[in-house]
Amino acid sequence: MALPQTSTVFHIDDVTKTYQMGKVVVHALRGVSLTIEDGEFVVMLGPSGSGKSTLLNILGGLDTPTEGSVLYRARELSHASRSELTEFRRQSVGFVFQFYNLMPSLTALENVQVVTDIAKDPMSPREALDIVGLGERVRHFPAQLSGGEQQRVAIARAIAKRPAVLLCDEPTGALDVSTGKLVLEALRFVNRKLGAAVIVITHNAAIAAMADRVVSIADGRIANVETNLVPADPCDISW
Amino acid sequence: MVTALNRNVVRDLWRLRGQLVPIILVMACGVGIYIAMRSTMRSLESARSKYYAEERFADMFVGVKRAPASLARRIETIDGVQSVETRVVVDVTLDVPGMIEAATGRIVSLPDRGRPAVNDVRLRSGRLPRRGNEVLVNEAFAKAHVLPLGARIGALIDGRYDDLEIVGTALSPEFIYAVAPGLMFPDDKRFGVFWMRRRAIAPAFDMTGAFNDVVLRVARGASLHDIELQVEDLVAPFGGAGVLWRENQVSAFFVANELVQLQSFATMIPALFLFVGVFLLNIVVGRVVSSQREIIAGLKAFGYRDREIGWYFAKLVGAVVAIGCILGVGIGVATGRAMTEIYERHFRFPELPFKLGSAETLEAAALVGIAAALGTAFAIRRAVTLLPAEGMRPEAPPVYRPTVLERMGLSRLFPVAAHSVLREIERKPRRSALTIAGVVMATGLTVMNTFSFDSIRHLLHVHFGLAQRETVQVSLHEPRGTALLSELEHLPGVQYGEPFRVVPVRFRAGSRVKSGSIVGMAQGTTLMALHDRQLARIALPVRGLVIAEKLAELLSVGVGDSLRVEILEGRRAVRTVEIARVVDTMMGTPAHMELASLCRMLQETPSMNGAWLHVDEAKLPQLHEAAKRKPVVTGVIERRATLRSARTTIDSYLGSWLVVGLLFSLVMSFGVLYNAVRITLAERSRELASLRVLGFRHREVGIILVGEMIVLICIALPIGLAFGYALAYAMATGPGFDTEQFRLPLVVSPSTYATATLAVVASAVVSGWRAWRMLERVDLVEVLKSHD
Repeated sequence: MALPQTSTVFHIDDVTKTYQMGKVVVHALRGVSLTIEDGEFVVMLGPSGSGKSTLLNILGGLDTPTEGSVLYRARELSHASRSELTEFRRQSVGFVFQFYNLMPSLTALENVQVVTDIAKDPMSPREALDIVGLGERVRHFPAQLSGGEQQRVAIARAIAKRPAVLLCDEPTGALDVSTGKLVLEALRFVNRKLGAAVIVITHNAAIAAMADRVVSIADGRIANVETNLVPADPCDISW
Repeated sequence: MVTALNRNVVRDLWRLRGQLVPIILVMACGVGIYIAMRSTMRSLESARSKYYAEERFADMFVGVKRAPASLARRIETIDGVQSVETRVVVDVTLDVPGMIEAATGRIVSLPDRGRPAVNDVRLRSGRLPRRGNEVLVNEAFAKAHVLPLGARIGALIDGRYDDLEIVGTALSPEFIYAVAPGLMFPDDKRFGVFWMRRRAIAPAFDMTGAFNDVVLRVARGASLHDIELQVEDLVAPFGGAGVLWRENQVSAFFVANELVQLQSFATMIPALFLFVGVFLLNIVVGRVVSSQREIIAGLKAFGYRDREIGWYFAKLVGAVVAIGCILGVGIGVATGRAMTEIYERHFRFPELPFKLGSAETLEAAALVGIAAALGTAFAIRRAVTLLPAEGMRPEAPPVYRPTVLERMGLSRLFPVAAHSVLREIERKPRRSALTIAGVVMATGLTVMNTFSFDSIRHLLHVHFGLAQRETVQVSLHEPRGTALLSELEHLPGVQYGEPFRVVPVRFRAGSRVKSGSIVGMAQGTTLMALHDRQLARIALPVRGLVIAEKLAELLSVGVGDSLRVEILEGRRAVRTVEIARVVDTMMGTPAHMELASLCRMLQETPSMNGAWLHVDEAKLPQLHEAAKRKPVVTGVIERRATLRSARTTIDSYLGSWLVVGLLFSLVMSFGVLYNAVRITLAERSRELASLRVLGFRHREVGIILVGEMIVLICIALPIGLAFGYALAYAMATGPGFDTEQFRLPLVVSPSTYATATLAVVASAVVSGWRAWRMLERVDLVEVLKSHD
């Protein structure tokens, strides 16, 4: 097996994940191997139940594989303790959720600050909000923002710690097309400007057009990997 | 058939169990305390009336110096008098085997044949005395000294040392609460009651064919006032010391007063629990209705009627109330039994069975039901009036805004997490206020429950520590010249002594009359000091009376007023004395006077009938030994021993209450806080789990979870402690604590405040810990998927 390159963010090898659901054993992942490089924009496509969310959870340190290895940089995550995984998420990963998961009692600025307060070398919350184009709405509470704006606050929150990787779970799933595009533009901007690897899982095939690489997952396995030589601009995508 | 909706009621109950259990517990405690206290009250009342009736307990007690037996016949003929029993009642010094100090014995005569017509005894073991020195002894004294039948006790009877032989143990309605004269707490080791045949005791006290005590029962509906006047007229020539009605007889008073106190507690405490239980129910049902808007709308869309929806929630509330009541009955029975056991230890009834009152149980259930209905009516109404279309739309997102502190520009002082906590509190002012109110009540309950301990200890400290300074108090068989003091000073170990003179009197001011006594003490007395409630030392005026504020209140007199004093001994002179000072005291209704001035009023040469002695403690055993053999001495009371015994009694009696009360306070504060933190968890678990996903440590998220509770506790505790003080004030000045016999001083010690605080903190720790553990179990992966 070849050792991962120094520019490799994730190197996962033959990862399987099984769950016991009552008497039934569910094979969520069946031997997945994948490498993700620094600054890459990867879209993982797959229908519901294909295993893409399980894979994202394992990459994000929310879950551990049943078998196989997960290397982040050169660190093995598959046997990490809960507190080690917390530290990993705290310093290295940015999350963007389908339903934003903002704290309703905090303003946009404070929602970002929540994360910068605990990160080692964060940017200022205001800078993060400027990056996503919300510099004017920092004092608004989530309930005073549109869905797209809320998701952009979530992106600002995710990037403010300057993570090596941004994990996005259906980031446009709850948004209409035009708002979704704004969010995708923000992700693209972060990816290009900050150099963070971005992994987006979605069942929306249209988004695949903007990826550097598209990983299709079906039935717990990687069905196909495609490289886009010329990734599309988010504003040219529609669904 | 069980309908689907009914099945769902059960499922909802199960699903909400985390929030409903504390409510059920709080309600159950309220029901339980109500049932326990009221049932115990009924049990006590019925045991008392049964006992009083069966043993023909007297309605009136009259002491005389010496009256001929024939007087009884004349008393019997008074209209309305049902039965009369004349007796010889004397206090003697006892020499109990194995006890260094002397104990006080009260000998009560039994008729020479048969049983007394009034104030009969209840035989517990052995038999009635037949001859000579055979005696019955009160059961508690026999138990305290482990005296078997046939045991002998030495007694100094009118200067002669005699052996009393115990042939039986007994109880009497006259001594349910058996206290030595002048004391407040029973001391079964130092005070015993003995019954012996009259012919055996009368000669020693020159009472052959005579009596010094008469008890009588009056017919129902008789004019008490007329009887009193006629009895007084009859006994006056024989040194009648005034009439005592049953309500003022020491034992009967303390039993009745306990019932009065119980009544106060039985109203106040369940009310607090009821309030807290209902407000918790109000919060939870309000939340359930909000969170089930879509389901309610859906059901209405299917054609369910409004009232069916209302009925659904009513059943939910009804189930909670029903479970609370059932559990409450269990708690009530257990608490009632525990209470009855406490009473059995301090009140000597032949039997004191706890009987669960069915009326009390129904009352409690009805009260909880009504309160719960009122408390949840608004929330249920919202469900009933919800329009389907409106319910289908998601509820408007919560509106947050900067808090007062932030608007004041203080936002920089707090971390971001604190802003979140404070804004949550401000967004739900009603719920926050109710949680604060709950903690305030729980804190107040602990203070109210514990303060009587402080107060009585303070009372003991003032009485036995500041006022009384002597080593022993000696009482004499009859008044003697003050020259006797030097004789007493020659007893072993005595360093010096100071005389006193107690004289029974009747105070009269206009139409108001009050029996009591005047204590005369010499100027410059050091072994006894008078204090007011603020503990300021009161100098004894050369002339005039110093009387207790309670006595002044009863007689409606004040400083400078003149009191008619009818002296109930000797020549039975009537004098007028000016009130020189009114003092706020805590025990009894004492009146003090300068000794020489008192003796002048009595037209006696300086005399004494007791002394306070300062004694070398190492020589106390010899002093007791010598005093037991000194005919003139009828009692030697060692101050420290009395204090110790009172403390032991208090610790055992109030200590038991304290533990029971503290348990209930803990349930209340736990109920309030656990509910609060569970709701926070339910409402914010998604948010908090998101933070965990973002890399927050469990500890950091946990702080946000319990932060709201901590802030509310910080606000509530000082208010709760003040509320506790107010409750204590209401208690101390209310019925049962502000009596002729004693006035409970309002003293709340720092340790009581600390206990109340600790109880809340302990409940918070347990609640917080439980929620903390539940937060740990929140599925982080689910959070990524779920929508609000």
